[in-house]
Amino acid sequence: MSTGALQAATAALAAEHAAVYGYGVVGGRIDAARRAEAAAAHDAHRARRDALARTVHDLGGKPRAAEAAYALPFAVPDSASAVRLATVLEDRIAAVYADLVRASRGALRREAAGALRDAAVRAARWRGTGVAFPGLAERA
Amino acid sequence: MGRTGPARGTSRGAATRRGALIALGAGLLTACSSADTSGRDGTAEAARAEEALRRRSANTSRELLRQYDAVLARHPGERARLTPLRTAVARQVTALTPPRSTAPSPSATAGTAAVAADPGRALRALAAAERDTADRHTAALVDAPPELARLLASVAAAGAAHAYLLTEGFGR
Repeated sequence: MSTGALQAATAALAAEHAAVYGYGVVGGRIDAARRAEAAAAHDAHRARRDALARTVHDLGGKPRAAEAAYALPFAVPDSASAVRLATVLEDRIAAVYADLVRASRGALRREAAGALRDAAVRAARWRGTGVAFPGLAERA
Repeated sequence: MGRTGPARGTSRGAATRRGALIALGAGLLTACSSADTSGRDGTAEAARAEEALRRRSANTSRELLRQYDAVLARHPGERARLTPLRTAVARQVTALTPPRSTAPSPSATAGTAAVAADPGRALRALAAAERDTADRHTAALVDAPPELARLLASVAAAGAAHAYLLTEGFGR
């Protein structure tokens, strides 16, 4: 496929690394009632991260490892802010997969669309409401 | 050619240069028009295909919008929950509709199924309609041009999220 697909897959991999890190923080702060939900999301992002590393490799790229740490967009001292962080993580993930849909074709495009769908459902779970155009910042 | 143009010189050098430019220009024109013919056909065909796909996809979402209206008419008590979702679907219809298209196709009016008397069942039916719509957009995006594929993927994702909200999300 194109260099555009490789670039988009690389960006998606970076976002999945960040999401895996972020859900580690979420899991440590979120109320017990929602901990299982956070753990399931954490697992889902690990699986997507591993799949994307293979994709980047298959497209001829060199999959990058995670950073040692990531700057959080805001302080996460409690469960409410943990839920907000989880929402932000899913919104960012939705955006990179929307771009990967645009840059790819065939099986990779379908996979990216599926990942975007999963992210939008999880974002709706955390937020309690939906958005009209998940992943499309220009229509937000 | 304008009288005051810079190519007005009468020296032989200038005349030769001009001759070369004309020759080159003729070559370019030929190249352009031949490339343009096939290119224009290909582009026009792609544009027509995209417009048709947009129109079909807009109609798919418009049918969903009608189902929201039918449920809202039957169950006005659900207005607070359903209005934000309906508003999102209306925005999606607008985004999918081809730029120059005017009136919506009138064909789908008859498609609205009867709404269940029980509000819970009506919402579950709406959730199923959201999921079905999302599946159709997902199938359509496979062969769509890049930017439209991105839009369809987003609309499908929003539909899956709506289906979740309609079945489980409102219980929170």
